[in-house]
Amino acid sequence: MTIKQKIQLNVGVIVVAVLVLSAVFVVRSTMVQNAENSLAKIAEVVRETLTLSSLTEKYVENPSLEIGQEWLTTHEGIDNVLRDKALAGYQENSAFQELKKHNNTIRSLFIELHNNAGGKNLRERVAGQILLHAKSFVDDSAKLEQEIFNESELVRQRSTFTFFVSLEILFALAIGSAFFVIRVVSKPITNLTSVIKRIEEGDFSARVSVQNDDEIGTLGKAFNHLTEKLHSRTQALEAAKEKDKELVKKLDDRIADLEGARKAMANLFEDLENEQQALSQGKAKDDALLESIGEGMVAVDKDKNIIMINHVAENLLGVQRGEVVGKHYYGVFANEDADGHIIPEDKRPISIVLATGEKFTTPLGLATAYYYIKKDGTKFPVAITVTPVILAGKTVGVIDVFRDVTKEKELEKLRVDFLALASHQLRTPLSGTKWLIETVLRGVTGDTTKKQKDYLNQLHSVNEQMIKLVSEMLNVLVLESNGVVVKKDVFQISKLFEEMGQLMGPLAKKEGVGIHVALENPGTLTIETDFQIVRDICQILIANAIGYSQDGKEVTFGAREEPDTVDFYVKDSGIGIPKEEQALIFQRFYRASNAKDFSPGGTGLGLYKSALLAEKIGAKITFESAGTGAGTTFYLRVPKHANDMI
Amino acid sequence: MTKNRILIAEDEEFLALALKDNLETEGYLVDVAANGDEAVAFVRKNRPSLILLDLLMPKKDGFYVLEEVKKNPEWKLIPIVVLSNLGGDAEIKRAFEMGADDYFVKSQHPIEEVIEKVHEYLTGEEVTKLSASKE
Repeated sequence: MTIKQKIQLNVGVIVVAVLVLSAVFVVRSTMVQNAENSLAKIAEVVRETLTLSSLTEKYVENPSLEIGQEWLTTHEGIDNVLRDKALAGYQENSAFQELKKHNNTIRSLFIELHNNAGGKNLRERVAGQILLHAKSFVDDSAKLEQEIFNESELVRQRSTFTFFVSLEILFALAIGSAFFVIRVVSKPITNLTSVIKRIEEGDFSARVSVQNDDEIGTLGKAFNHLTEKLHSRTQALEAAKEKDKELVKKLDDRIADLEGARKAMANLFEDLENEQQALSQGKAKDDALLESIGEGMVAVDKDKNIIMINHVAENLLGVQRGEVVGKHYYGVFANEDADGHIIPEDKRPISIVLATGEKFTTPLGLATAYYYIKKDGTKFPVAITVTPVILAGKTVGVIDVFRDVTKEKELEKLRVDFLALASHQLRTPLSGTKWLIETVLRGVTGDTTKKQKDYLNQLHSVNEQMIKLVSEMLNVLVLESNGVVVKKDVFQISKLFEEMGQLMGPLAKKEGVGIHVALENPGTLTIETDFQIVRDICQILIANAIGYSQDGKEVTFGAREEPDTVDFYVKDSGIGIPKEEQALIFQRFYRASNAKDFSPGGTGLGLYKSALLAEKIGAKITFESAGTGAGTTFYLRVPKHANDMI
Repeated sequence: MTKNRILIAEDEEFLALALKDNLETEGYLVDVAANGDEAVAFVRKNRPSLILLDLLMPKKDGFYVLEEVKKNPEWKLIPIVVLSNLGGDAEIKRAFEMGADDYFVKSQHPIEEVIEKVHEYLTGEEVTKLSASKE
């Protein structure tokens, strides 16, 4: 049941009670009024009856018509009163019926009296009877009066009781209703208020006790539900607050750290400023140095973008620093090979050094020329050295130092031409001397003594040495001036070993040195390169090994197959190469000090020539020697396929 | 038996001398020309059995002589042995292409080898010469 219904019911009960009370009161008032009216009518008839009694006495004395008439009128008045509705309720009452009887008798007696105009005695007797009835009439009236009075008293008493009882019930109902309202509305609301207060104070365990199914019950449930939600929300908020607190704490720490860092940074900036000053001084020095080196310098980062270029390079390439720094180097200056072909990006020394991390230097001699092309299209020969910039084991950039070698090339050409001419011109007298001596020795010019023959032989030998030197020089000049055409031959290396055996065997025998061949897979290993060049290099290396080995020593000539190369090696246990001279032995005409002592006849061109030849076929010559007297091993690493440069 | 006539085209006197002495000792008739023009003139005057030809000579050089001799049907069978100080592949190739029969880099070979080479050619030349004279 809803509160509305409950209150409606409550009010209904009270209204009914009030109505009942009012009704009781009205009934009571009416009844009392009726009784009073009845009593007044009775008093009236008693009074009229007394008038009638005196009229009767008068009539006895004087039986005039007027008095008779007056008597009848009075009696009629009494009849009318008795028939009055105020007394209607008493028609059944015995006293009233006696009254009516007496009245009727009185009327009949007076009519008799009036109609029998006898004497006075008779009249007196009849009048006496009338008076007697009149007296009875008054007595009965008094009786009736008493009854009515009693009756009205009873009503009065009863109605008063009922009134008070009703009033009490009403009062009780009012109190009950008040309690009801308190119980149904006020109490739950008070409960709710106290719960709200507790919740306000943070006690989320507080709940409204839900007893009824009414609005407040529903409200209570809703409130509890809401509290539940509020509680979990508050808990979440609390947790969040805790987190926030931690965060704030952390933030405080961070701020402290940052403050520290800021201070450190400030110090650092101060240091940096000092450093920068020092650096700018250093940079000025570096710049001066860079500008003073007289060679073009271009620094390139790992993405192949130019990061630095000096004035010489700007002039040589015909570019401005501002327009090339930050640009890919390949687009800034082109590179041509000796045949006038543009070198593709991946074959450019800068790209190769970036990829391999190994320093690149323009090869020896005039043969392999590089040309840089200026912005205006003119080209010039360059000598290039590209050095990797290595940071923590990684190539982070390269520095290309180059110079215009136009002059050098011209000079070199002059030198080559001059040497070619000189060599040729030298050869003529040398071969003349040779043939003249041989002619004398043959006896064409007559007999010679033994002593003369010995001298002529000595002369011939010296001349031969001169011829060899000049011949080697010419060979080298030819190599240097790119006069050798490289061929591609496919051959099994066993062929090379056979030829070497035939070619070098006699020399080894003559020098008292053993040759040992260490060849793996001799039948199958095939190589594609210039056979003649490989043979010439091996010949030089083996001849050197034999030449610089003492009698009884052994020279080993071998080959090993590697994934992309064949590595030939010539190992001797001869005089070795002094440590301090090892860097020089590939130089033209250079002869190690111990080599000159051991074998005075060498030209100092063999290794130089072999290095030039190796370069032609993309091969590399290296060597190992622990020093003087420790023997030497030379390695010739040849690509299996002619086009693979090492 | 008729002596074989050999023409030496050589501008260096001492080389020509050494060759001439050796060949005459071996029984050959030897003429010496000091340049290309002279050499061709000699060939025209006295057809030689063999020519020893230097390449680098003043005025007309050895290549001129090779051309003149080898383009002439009458002379083209005359063996020409080039004796040069030029040892380059290019020169050797060019000389052979122009019809040289042999090529010696002078300093690389004892004079004896040259004499032997002449003997080799002229043993066969006897036959050729005979058949040619019959025509």
